[in-house]
Amino acid sequence: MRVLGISAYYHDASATLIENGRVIASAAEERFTYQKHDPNFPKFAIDFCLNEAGISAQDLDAIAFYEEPHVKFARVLSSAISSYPKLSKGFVPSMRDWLTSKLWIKNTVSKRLNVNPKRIQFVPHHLSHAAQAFFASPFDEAAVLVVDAVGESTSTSLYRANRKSGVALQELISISYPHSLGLVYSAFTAFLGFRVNDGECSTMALSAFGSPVYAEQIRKMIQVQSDGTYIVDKSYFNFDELMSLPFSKRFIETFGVPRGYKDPLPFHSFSGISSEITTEHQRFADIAASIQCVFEEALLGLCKKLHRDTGLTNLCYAGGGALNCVANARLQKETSFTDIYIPNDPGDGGASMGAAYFAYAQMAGANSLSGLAHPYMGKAYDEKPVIEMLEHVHADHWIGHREIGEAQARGLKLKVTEYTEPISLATHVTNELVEGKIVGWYQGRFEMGPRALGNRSILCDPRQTGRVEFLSRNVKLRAAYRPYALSLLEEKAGQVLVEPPSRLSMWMQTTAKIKPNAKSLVAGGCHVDDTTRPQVCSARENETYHSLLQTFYEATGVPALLNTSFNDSGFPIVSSPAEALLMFARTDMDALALNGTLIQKVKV
Amino acid sequence: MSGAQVLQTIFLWTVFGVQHSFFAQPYFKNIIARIFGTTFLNHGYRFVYFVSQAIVYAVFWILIVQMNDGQTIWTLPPALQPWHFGLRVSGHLLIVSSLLAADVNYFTGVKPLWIYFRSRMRGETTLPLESVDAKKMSRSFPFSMVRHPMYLGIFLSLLATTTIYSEKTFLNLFCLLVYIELGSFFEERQLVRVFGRDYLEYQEATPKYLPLFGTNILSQLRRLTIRLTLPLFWKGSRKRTAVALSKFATTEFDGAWQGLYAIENVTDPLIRAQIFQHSLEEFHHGALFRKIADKYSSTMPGLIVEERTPLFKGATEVEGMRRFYSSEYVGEVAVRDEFRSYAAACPHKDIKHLFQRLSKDERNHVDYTRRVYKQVIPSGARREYYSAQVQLKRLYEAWCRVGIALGAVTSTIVLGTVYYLFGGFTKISNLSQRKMP
Repeated sequence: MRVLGISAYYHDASATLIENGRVIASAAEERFTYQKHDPNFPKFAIDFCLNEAGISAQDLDAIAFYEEPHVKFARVLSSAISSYPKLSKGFVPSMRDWLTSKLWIKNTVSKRLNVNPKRIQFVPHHLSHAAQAFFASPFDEAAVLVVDAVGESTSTSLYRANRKSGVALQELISISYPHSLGLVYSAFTAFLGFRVNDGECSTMALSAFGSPVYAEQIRKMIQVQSDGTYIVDKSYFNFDELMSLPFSKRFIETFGVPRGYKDPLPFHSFSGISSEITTEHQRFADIAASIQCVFEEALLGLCKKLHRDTGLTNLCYAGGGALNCVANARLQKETSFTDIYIPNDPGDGGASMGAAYFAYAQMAGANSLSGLAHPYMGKAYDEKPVIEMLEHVHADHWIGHREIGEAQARGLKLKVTEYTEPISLATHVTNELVEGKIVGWYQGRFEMGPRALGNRSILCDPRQTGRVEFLSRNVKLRAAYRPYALSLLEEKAGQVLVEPPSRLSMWMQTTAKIKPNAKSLVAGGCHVDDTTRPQVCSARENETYHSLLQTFYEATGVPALLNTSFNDSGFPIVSSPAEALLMFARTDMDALALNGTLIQKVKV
Repeated sequence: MSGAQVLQTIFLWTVFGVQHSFFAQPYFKNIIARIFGTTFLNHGYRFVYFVSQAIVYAVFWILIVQMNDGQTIWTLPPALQPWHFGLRVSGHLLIVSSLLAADVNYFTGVKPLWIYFRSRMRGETTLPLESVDAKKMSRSFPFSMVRHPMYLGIFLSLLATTTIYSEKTFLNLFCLLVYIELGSFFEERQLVRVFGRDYLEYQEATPKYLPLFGTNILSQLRRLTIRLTLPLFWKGSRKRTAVALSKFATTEFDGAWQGLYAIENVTDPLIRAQIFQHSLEEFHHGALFRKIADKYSSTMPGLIVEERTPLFKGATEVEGMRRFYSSEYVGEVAVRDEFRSYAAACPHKDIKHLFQRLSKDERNHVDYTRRVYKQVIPSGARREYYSAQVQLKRLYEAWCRVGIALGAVTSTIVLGTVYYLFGGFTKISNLSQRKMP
């Protein structure tokens, strides 16, 4: 049996194929179109999934869409009418979108894939998230929490899940729009001058520099109830205009003037407190810390309720809220759940997988589904065509076509070395890293989700903070207050982290304290609060990357590498070797390991 | 007309055409230079060529005129006579204006000859080179309208010399057309050799014979609109400027993506490398546009995410390459011309400078795509076919954009009315319910 899951038309469109109970392929559309958060119909992602299985759309038993458009339309319409006449500006474009495309999803999918509309089914948005969280997990029974902005009308939902039960996912409680933790967090993100649905990670990073001095005011906005649920005071917000101005006049009266998106934030994740920081800068950091604090409190309330209602010790957690790794760290420490699973792509990008899982479970039974073994479900490319063309490429010309990085003297050449043994490549890359070089690490199938986990990564020696700053300035164009993540050797993670790694440490889904004596070893990947976002890498999951970490450890005694996603600012993580080479050409990266081939920039 | 007369007519046209073209070819001129010296070639040959042409043409025309007219095929109705007259006058005017624009003295060879004798009379030992300096391309009227106004004028004159169209008239018109097409082909090939990129750009921008036909009319209109409206629209609003620049960034990024997509489907490493270099430049342009858009924007610019449609498509790699390069070439020509218009009309100095800078890159992009386009489709006629397909597609897309804009206006009116009426009604109803005890 084969089921294709699709998510599209909001943000992060994606497709997932499940065959005989296992996920065969899953990818976001943005990886194929090179447009971040691409919401368009995922035609390239679908083609990839079908090609991976060697089938056509006609061979599919079902196609599952990740939400119920007509239900969502009813919510959007009633919300617009109820806020009359405030939404006069947004109503027309929104309705135009709905009436011309979003409402006719079945028709669109049927036409595009040339399949019978009867084979297309809609899975409620939160059920898609819940299904992904639970069926991808290794648990037979678990409590499931979904926290995101808003689905059809649900913003938070709690489930009890059991693979052996007739109803695999049993909804316990749901909280509906406009009461939404996700939307509140996004509204603060917009207030802090970051892009909604993209800059939430910046709010989270900024929170480490502040104190929750505004927490009391925010608790009035998000009122956690005695039973663990919460309500949101809508008078502070304008969720109907989420992308432009999601907060009200009352909100501004409480917190002051919002930050302009170009205003500087001179915080630095690892080089201490800067004298440039003014009270105004600190106000924004404090607001970020306050919303982070109250968000965590609300989340803890929900988890406590979920544990109380289910009595279970395993938690599966998904939705955009699950990307908040600082909050996830508190869930681990402060709830009664002993084992927590968060899918690698818990946001809307992963909802295609959840929709496919749910539809499959409906048809073949939940027991027939297997958990996700690893997050590397994207496309693998042959690097040879790109390597072959390199002899015709004039690296000298690259210098004239880059607006970032340092101007280099003419005379740039490429040195291409092919390795048949992975260990030789790892040794060579280690030598480069030890010399302070910045290396693009491109291997095999790409990862699902927003995090690079050693297959599409940019690596740097975490001891060399000067080079880390160079990486931010000349390669990533990254704000200094945003910390980098660390990849750690599973066997030696204890040398760096205070607490033993958990399931959430595998895919950078939590933060972890760094041991004081290890701080200098991993300074580049250490945030101002002495935490890091760890990826504890095992040989089982990613043998090639593990061998690189091992080689680096043997050479330096440091069991960690600084790992940041292989993408240009404002673009998704690279997918093909040509995209990787493009970024290599445009920035001050020193070397690029394309599968078994190392390309180095050499000055002559 | 008898078969023999038809063959005789064709033979005469062939002799005239071959003689006319052959004597103008560089290899024939080289032979003349070797026999009579370069002084004769530079100063006397053009006059001799013109006189010989005049004699040959006179003989040729006397022979043609003496031939039997054959059957009358069509007689001009009196109602069309003013148009007929207009055509004849237009033809004559085109011939005269072409001669004047191209310098009649140079055209007849009188100028080089006069320079020779003037120098000799003055006792100068060296001859000035101005007579042989033919490297001046006339782009003034009528050459700004069509590339071959003289041929067009000759054709119109011949077309309108008579009101009774016999078999002979049609045969001569047909032969003239064939002659013009062949003659202009060899002439243009020679002009490309002499003027290089300038003539290629002139070819891209100007129709061969018929005004407004064969070039992208839409693109011309667009350029005109840019020049007229840009100073008004961009001067008044930084936000509008930022939005427009963001769209340019999106277009350039799409161009880069098209290349990256094509690389995956092309087997020739050299072409892959060329596409990669091209993509790198397009990406760089996109980044520059994004940067300057950011400078002009005071609010966070919205994400522009467009649905990608690969230009590289087809059942085979060859077909994919043809489609890719036809689209790339037509697109690059349009972009180059548009950027020039933006550079000319932009009211902001820094943006103007950016457009000027990028126009130069785009000029190179046109050269590159033209070169590979010719490699991928060596036949000129086939290239025309593919380019016409792209033009049609662009025209259709423009039409769709107009349709969408009209739809947006209509839907705004309809949905706005629905919102204000229905929403208002619901609000009043809610308020009344609340007031009820």
